[in-house]
Amino acid sequence: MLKHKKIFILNLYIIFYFTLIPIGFAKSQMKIGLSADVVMLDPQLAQSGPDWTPQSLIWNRLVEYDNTMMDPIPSIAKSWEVSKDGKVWSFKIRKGITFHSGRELTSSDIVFSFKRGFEIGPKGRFAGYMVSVDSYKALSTYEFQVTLKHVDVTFLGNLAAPAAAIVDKDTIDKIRTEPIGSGPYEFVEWSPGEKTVYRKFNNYWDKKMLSKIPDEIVVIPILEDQTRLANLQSGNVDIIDGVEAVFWAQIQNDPNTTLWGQELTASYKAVIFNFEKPPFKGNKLLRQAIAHAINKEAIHQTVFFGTGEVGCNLIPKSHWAYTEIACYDYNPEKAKELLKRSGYDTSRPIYFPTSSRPAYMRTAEVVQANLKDIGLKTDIEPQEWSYYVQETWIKRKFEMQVAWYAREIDPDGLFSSVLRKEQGNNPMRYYNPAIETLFDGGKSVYDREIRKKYYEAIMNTAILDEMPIIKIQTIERKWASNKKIKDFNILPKGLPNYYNFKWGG
Amino acid sequence: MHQFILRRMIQMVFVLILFSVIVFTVLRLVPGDSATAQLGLEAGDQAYTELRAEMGLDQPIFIQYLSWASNVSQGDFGVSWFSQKPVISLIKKRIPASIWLTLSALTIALIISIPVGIISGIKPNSWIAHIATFFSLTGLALPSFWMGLMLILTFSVFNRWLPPSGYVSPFIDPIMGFKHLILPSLTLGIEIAAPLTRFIRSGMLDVMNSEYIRTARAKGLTEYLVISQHALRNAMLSVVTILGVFIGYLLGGSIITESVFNYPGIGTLLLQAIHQRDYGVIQGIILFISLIFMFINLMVDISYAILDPRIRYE
Repeated sequence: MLKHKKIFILNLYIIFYFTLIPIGFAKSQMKIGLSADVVMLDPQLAQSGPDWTPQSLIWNRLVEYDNTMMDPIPSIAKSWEVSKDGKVWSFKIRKGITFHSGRELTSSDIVFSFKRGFEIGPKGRFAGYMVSVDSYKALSTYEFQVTLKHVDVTFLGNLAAPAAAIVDKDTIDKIRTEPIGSGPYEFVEWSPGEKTVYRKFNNYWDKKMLSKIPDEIVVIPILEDQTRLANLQSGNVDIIDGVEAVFWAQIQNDPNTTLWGQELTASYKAVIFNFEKPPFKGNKLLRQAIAHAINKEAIHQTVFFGTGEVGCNLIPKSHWAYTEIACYDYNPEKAKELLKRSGYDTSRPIYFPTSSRPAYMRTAEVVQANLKDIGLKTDIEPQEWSYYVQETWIKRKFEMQVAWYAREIDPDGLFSSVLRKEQGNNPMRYYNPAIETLFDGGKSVYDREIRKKYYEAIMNTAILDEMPIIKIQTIERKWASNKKIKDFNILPKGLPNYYNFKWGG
Repeated sequence: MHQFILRRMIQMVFVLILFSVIVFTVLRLVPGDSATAQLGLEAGDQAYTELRAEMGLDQPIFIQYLSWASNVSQGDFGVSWFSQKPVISLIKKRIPASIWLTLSALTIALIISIPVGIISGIKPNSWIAHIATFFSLTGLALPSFWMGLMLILTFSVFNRWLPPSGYVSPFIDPIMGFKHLILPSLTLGIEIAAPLTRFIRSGMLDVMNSEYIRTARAKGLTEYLVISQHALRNAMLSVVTILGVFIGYLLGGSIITESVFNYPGIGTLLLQAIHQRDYGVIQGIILFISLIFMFINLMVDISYAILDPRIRYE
């Protein structure tokens, strides 16, 4: 009897396995291990890097980024025309795009999304990207028009920004819990701290893309760098973000893994000064002394393991807008001389708060040692992230600090929010009316050779003379995957291009 | 006994209220809030002020506390600002994972510490005792995150025997569930076994030198009976106290071990909430953890009476 029972159970197991395994295999699933969890599902309110995944997967925009972020590709907008004066943009909306709810997306949804984006204002990023918009309207069900206050060459590219997502007006009340969009993936669930699940939307308009992507994407937040890598190496996840430079060689040498990098990066690390109060307010020589004192090469080797590109130029070398500028070299003797001339009382330490995150701390420590060499004392104060954001960044309680910028790739996007008046990336509160005019000029012409001149002029004043910011080097962001991922592109922003990857699992 | 329990329950309510006031106030005095967590670096002052008002964070602390407390007294712990999910459901979802981890870590700890502790207590100068002391000191000195990472490297990366992180409910998939539990519970089990062994050892040492053990031996009892009936029971009194603390620690989430193994227990939920300053969630979890501790302490006190009939709560 007992024997029969055992055989019966064994049979059950066999039946169970053979019926379930094929079902399991039929559905392809890509697992992504990310260094942070989603913060905010509403794409128009979202501000942080990890929110990029839901923003990209669930929603479409009028246009999407290409790999370089310089030539937007058609998405909801099938095509567009610009008036001769460059101010009126007319978009033709692709017919037959549906939201995950099944309702067709029309120009009224675009009007709704624009209106909502402007209403949200500075709490989201949309209004900031759309500063040059004067008015917008639906011309018909499938036509949408935007009128600009003045020519803005960054306008089209900004329409691809995550915050420019076209949202579903019918389900807007549930956008933070059960979001509905028109993107390639439907939202399934978000278990905070555990996983976010997306399912391929089979009615998605771009059938070519549908054939290249997995049926399901599961994003697992794995905060620990080592654990995340171990998850990739053990086959628990297919791809991970935020791979530290120490591990790059190891991943490249492993036949089972691939390292994915960027062609161009818009992230950079810098030291910035507070222009609102002494000692840096009105003391250009002191800032210039520090520029000569910082050993960027040492930071390059010890903090970034020789990756990235050292230099003070805010535009990376391979960028079309790059021009050679005469950066300050590492010259402690000259630094000492400038320091002497600046008249700064060296017995008083400079207040130097920094985020306690390792890449900030290590940079700050090298800078501290460099400044000590020329006789300048600094008080480094490591701060937990939220503390740092509130006290040092928003309330601007600092004299100097280490900053990490992850920007857009258009030269305007790269540093206008850093150097323009009262922008979010300008806690220095640097302001120069001449620079404002140059930025406006740089945005108003399409000719790249002319634009280049504007940005060169900005750099000559702001970076080589007044120096609210000393750029140390660019930061390369890398992802690592197993061989199931055949093609993967990381945008200059450091985030993946979910509209251009190939899954072979 | 009933009266004692009732009295303790009433005390618990007051302790909870006092505790919630302290936690609520301290949380709001720490710089950084939910608004900074949502806005990040680029939003600027105006957005920050607006969002704070929207979140109700611009109100005086005591008004914020009263509105929170009145909701809690009606059983409403609020929602997480970020995921918009009820705090209670977030905690509920993590409890099974934490209970599994607690049980398995505790089992490992007891399997190691009871025999080793007893033997090294009875025979303090034997080689077993020396080895035990060596290992429990090593266990105390090893940081759990390091041990966790070493276990991951050994069992998941170099040899792909066990999953490096995550959790699967053993009710859904017993094999996978068990595999996911091994590494984190081993890390925690060893971490706890070390001090537990030393407690049992010193408890046994004390007891073995006492007069009633001599009496028991003198009346001719076998060594086995002396130890199991007389010594162990008395030695357990102090061990039960420390065990209670460990159970509370494990259920309340061992943040470091849970983060290393990306284990979705109470600890990682709390850590994430602290990073985001998700006040509702932090307060909910801390109340939950303090409830657990108070409940376990009550259990420990009750178990005293069972272990030692001389103790009476009247």
